[in-house]
Amino acid sequence: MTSRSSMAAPPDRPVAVVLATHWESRSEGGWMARQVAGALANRADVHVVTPDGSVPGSGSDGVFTLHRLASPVTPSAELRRDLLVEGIAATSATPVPMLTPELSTLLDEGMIAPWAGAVDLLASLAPDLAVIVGAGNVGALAAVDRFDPDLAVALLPLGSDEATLTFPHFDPLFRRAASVLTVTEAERSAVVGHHGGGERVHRIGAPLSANPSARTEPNTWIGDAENILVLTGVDQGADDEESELARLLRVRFPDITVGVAHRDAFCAWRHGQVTSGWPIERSSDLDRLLAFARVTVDLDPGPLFARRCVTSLLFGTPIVVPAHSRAREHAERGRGGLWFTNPSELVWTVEALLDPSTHDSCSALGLAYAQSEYGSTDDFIERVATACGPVTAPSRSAVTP
Amino acid sequence: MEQSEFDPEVVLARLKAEHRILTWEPLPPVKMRQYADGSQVRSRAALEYLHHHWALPDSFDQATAGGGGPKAKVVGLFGRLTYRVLGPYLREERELLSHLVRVNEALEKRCDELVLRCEQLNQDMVDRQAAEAENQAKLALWLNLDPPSTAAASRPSTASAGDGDNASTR
Repeated sequence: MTSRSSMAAPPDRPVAVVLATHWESRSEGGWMARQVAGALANRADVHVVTPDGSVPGSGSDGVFTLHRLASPVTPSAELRRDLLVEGIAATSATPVPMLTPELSTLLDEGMIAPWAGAVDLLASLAPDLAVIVGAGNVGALAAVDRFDPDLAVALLPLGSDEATLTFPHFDPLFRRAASVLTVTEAERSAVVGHHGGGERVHRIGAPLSANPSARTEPNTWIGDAENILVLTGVDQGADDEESELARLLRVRFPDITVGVAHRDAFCAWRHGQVTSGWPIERSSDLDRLLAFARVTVDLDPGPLFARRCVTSLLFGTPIVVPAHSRAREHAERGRGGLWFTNPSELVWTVEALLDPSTHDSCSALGLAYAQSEYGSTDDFIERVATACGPVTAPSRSAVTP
Repeated sequence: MEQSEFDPEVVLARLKAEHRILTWEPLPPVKMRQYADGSQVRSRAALEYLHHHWALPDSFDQATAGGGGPKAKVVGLFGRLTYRVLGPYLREERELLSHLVRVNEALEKRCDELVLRCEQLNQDMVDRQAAEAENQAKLALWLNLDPPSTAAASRPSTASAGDGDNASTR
């Protein structure tokens, strides 16, 4: 391993390098990568390396040092890889798809070369730990192996879908990783079920909290009246299933205020009358809605761990979510709500959760679950430290399954 | 309900049992029948032939008599005589053939129009069926959601309240 350069940290703190194809916090995956890096920063000097950027260079980004290689992975390369993964997984006759060398080459096209500049950077940083972000980040793995095949590696797969987590082309990442950091139990089960090694696969949850000020500032368009909050991922004028389900709810519950958060507007319905407002874009605005909602119906929960649903539970608001979504785990395992598979069940479940006794039980159980698994930043830091092994050894044992 | 008693699986099972009614779905719309050959004109080749051959010869062609010998002269003489005698009849026949061709042309055009109209009617019928099926599916959903036996007793205002934006009014 190359000796530590002047860019590296003092010798008493380990150096961790986080290798992420993109460094952003808009998506759940991007936000999660940032939280993990932040947790590592408590015990190590964290350097984030990304091919993103138009000009190569390094700079401070909060508690991290951000290194941009300025050789971004093109959207077309990522789209081609995602299409291939989905297509091959969907059409394979066997549970584990068979890959030809040509397909493997096609999968890697445009994914490895952008990371070429990371090798020299790793040599100058001399890290003790590399955290690879993304289950399909073969470029980062190639860079790490070219630098030091024995460097400790932790993998943050951010596996939103099982096809990617179990795709055989990405097996080397899971084999190489000394530890795998998963966010939800569903993700952990998928990884363990396919790759084995349960002892090195850790569920780390996420650090979330209920904004206390949200409880005193109700949304002006909906007020503090009992309401059903419907979260969609589509525009107000969209003609699709989510819009139909939202319409069904507002027509079905005319005597209760139904707040529908579209992508481009927020609409509060009561007795067939609508009050329209600005779209809900800031998390503080969403918190003010979640804090006063009787039930949160998330028709488009986040693909990784359904962050909005966990936040809703932290406010004591039960959730109703699609059965085939990551959010179901919070309703089922956390007993914080119910799930539906068709419009009828959607209405029945909302009706059930409007019942005071059912609501109160569900609210209390969901709140306890969310606080236990997602509500403590300190616990999250401990879980990340434990998962990443001796490099960032925690002071006490972590809460992992 | 006690907190410890709340089990989402149990609640969902109970909800499904409480709302269990006969489910009904509308028939799917029929698929539009496609014509096997996909063409509107079935006898295009025959009509083309008629267009090119309805004009019969109106005089004797000396070349058909062959050579310039006495036999050819006799044949040519009889040929011209025959055409002169039968000329009026042949012209009438040619007029008749031309009208027959025109009639066939008009019939062909009319047939094409009728085929197109039939296809359009068929498409309109399928579209209407699809719209009816969609509307009935919405009605079925509402009936499944709100069994008449329980709706009247528990939620008398639901059907009339709201913005009137429901399946039965569309």
